[in-house]
Amino acid sequence: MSTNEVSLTPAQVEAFGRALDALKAEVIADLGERDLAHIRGVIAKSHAAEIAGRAMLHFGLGPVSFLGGVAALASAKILNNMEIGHNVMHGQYDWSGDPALQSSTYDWDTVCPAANWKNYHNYEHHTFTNVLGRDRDIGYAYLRVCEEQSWAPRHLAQPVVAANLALNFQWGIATHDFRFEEYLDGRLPMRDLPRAVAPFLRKAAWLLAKDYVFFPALALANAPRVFLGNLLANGARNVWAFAIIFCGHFPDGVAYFPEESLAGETRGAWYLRQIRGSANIEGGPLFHLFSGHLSHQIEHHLFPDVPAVRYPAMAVRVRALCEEFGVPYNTGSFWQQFGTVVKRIFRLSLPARRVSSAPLAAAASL
Amino acid sequence: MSNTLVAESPLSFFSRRMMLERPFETLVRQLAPTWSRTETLAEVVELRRESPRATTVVLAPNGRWSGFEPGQFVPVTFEVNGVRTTRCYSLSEAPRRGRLHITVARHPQGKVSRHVHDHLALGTVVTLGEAAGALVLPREPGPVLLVAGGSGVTPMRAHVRALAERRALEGVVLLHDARTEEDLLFARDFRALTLAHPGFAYLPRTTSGDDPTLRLDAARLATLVPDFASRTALACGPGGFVAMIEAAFAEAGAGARLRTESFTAPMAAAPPANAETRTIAAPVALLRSQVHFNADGRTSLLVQAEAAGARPKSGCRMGICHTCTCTKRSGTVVNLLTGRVSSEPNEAVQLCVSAALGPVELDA
Ligand SMILES: Cc1cc2nc3c(=O)[nH]c(=O)nc-3n(C[C@H](O)[C@H](O)[C@H](O)COP(=O)(O)OP(=O)(O)OC[C@H]3O[C@@H](n4cnc5c(N)ncnc54)[C@H](O)[C@@H]3O)c2cc1C
Ligand code: FES
Repeated sequence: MSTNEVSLTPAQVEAFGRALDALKAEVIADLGERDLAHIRGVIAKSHAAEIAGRAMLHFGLGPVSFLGGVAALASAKILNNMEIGHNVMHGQYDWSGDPALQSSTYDWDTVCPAANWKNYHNYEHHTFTNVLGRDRDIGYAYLRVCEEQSWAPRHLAQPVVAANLALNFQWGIATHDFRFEEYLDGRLPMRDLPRAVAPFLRKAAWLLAKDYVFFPALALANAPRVFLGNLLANGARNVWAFAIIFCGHFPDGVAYFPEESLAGETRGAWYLRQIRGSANIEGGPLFHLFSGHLSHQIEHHLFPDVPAVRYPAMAVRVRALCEEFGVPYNTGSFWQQFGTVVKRIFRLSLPARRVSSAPLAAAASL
Repeated sequence: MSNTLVAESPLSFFSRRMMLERPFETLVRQLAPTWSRTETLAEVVELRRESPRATTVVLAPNGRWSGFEPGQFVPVTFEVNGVRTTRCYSLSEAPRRGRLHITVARHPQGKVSRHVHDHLALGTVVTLGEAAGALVLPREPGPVLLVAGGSGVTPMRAHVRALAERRALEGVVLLHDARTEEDLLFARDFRALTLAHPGFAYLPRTTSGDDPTLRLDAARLATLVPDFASRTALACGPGGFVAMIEAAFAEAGAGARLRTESFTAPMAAAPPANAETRTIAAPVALLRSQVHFNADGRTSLLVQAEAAGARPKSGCRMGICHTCTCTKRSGTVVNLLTGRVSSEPNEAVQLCVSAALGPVELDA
């Protein structure tokens, strides 16, 4: 496992950054029909899976069609959230001009309103990746995932909290932008809260009504089966998204940064922080697709608005550049990466004990 | 571009709120590819080679299409290598139930016209705007003169066909100037109509390349159509050609009898010069915040907009989050990171990493 240390001169850092800029420009110039065909194909498949899944739950009788229905509906929701929604909202297809694929207007089929997501994810998380105090995705305000976060007694319960977050991940995602903790400790005025959460409550109410009232009611006698099927599909999507996303920034070997590292950070240094703060998961094309290509978290953090389907090819070039410049490139199988995440959640539930996470990357070492 | 407020049906309200709209649309589009509640879509149902350099595209629009008059044009949005691009095309056939014809002349470097002529496939779905244009005839026009230069014959074709259908082609003169025999589009059709309607005069001329002495001018117009100044006249063609006809009518004191249109191609984007040395002062208009300023060609539009007192939305300020993305209504900008130039109207641009290459209007 890498120690995630780099020793590059400032000139080398900028040369590294320019090489990545050039790679991005090359891919951007090559975007076209193929990329659109890919995302439209995935959209069509996700809709087909949703229709098939709901039909199996509604009209089927035995356990086979039940499990098939859950699997199809969960697949549809996963594709919608991960390969389609997440990527479209990053502006990966803005260049096409297709009104159905614009980051400014797209909304995904999960209870988190697009506007909240785009603020804390596209802006905060992607700009300030792994910077303590700036990137609120480090542990999602619930968990202690790196040594540098100070320990509190509530962290003793974090294995249970994490399991709960996994099962209800869409709700964690949806409420993350509201900064409840800051309302509670008075940093934000309580009277602003209702207005901030109103769009979320409205969206959540409609989506809950869809899966737990409307479709069950439509199924008449099959209502309990549909209710349960929808619950399981949503749950499967939650656990899957949690697992993939937690493998992005919390496996061993990932670096976290102090706030001072942002001062005067150059573009090259920003690129470097993205690589050192992210981890990839190895797998086949289908695995990459169902992860929304977040299995290429490193490439996604370098090029968040490049169509994700391009990441596997770009990864070969990024990895070669990393080797050339002596930059660690964190990748491993799903179980390898996820295993270290789970271990870390357990280990860090207890107060200070060194983990093999990289020492707080000092800006001075750049 | 209509702003008519359509009351939403309860079904559509529920399906939108429950996010069932898109799966439903996918399902319906399997059966009816042009079905849409919001857009005027049309399917390419026939492609006709009119010449080695021109193609007629026959379109079947959906029910949202609201019709046109002969002589009008329609903005058509094609997907050219995945990028939606809109151009105006005159309708080249009389209004027919359920079918629209446009005829596209291939420009050697043209983005859309080359795509249409070389690559467009049957079954493609395109998006239509609303028909517009004032190159129309009054109901009782009296003697008519139609003057066309090059592919400017397309709206005239719609007029001639519509007049023929109304048996009103007697006394109509159609003058068409084109470079070569091949560019005399619809010549066979027009000749056939002169046989069926003996009072219809079709005067095709080839100017064989660029010989200026063969081009139509006021004197030639007077020789060919001595009574031109007393006719209701329409002219369409390249800018210079139309200007010459306008001058001839003005000189004869008949300017009011003439309506013109020219197929002005938009100015090609200025090539992005070296960012360090690019010095321009381009007027930028932020349409929503009503802020105006002069942009240099190097600094991001976001920084300059803020300096001018506007507060466009922004986040990362380095081109990754798309918070600052807005629609550019017109003008040309360059992406400072990727070098990608945006010159088409209504493209999404990121203010924090885009610099102006000329006058720009932004929806910010
Ligand atoms: C009201 C109206 C009606 C019209 N009706 C018709 C019609 O019926 N039929 C028809 O064919 N057209 C019509 N046009 C013109 C049409 O809208 C397009 O402008 C035309 O098809 C060219 O579009 P394009 O995308 O192919 O060319 P563009 O890519 O927009 O290029 C425009 C011109 O610039 C040239 N050019 C592009 N790039 C370069 C470069 N790098 N260097 C030098 N030159 C370059 C091209 O050769 C072309 O001549 C109409 C236009 C208007 C405004
Ligand atoms: S402000 Fe983030 S892309 Fe422009």
